[in-house]
Amino acid sequence: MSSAGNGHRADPFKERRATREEHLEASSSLRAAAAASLKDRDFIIASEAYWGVVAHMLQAIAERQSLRHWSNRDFGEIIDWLIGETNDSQFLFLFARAYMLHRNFYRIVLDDHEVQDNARYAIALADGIRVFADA
Amino acid sequence: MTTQAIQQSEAERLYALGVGKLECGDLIGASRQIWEAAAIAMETYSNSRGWEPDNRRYYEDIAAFRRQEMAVNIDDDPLYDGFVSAIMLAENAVDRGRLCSERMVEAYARAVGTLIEGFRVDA
Repeated sequence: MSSAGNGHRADPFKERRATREEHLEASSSLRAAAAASLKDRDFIIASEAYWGVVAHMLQAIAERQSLRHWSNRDFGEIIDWLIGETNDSQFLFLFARAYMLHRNFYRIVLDDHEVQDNARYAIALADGIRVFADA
Repeated sequence: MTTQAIQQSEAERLYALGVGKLECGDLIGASRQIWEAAAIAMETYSNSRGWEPDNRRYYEDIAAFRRQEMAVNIDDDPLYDGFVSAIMLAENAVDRGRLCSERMVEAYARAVGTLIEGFRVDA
């Protein structure tokens, strides 16, 4: 059973939640920072920035659609929700490629080409799902 | 039976076990089993080429090898989804199921099946 829609469950962190607009702004700012890092060939910073573009877009969608977003698992549930809405399972693999960038930030496992390639997929995912942050 | 064929057979056996666990709803067990199957398939693939990748970068080295030596771009590499899927399942197993939903595990498992089959044909 999907847990993403369990908005009635208490926030375990009891923190102020960022708004949809704040997440969209963060996603946009990180996109610019990621592109600059890539241009400077700072592939580690670029990796996390591109993951951030996706992570904040997912959270903007969650805020807009009243989905839970407290953990990486919730990101998966949001992707599930998107697939349910679009019937497009390609989001699963775009998400996995974006996650490779997040993994690279900590483990430094991707070569430069793979960071560049997966960055394109991260942007494709963020652009492809943006409409659900607005609708 | 060659060592390579034995390893390939083991990968397929573990994969089938993983699919069985998936069907029983054991997502963590399935993730672990299917990732192990992928790891053996990848080891078989690299051994067949006479080189041994750095364990830390196992998948990435194979992806880089395919790109550099075989001129396969990840945009066109039908196995790349299998690479990233195997990694997602490994991370999901390590993270005790906190990364992937059931739908994700199912889809990533199918992509790993394609990866194992692709390596059997390629190796």
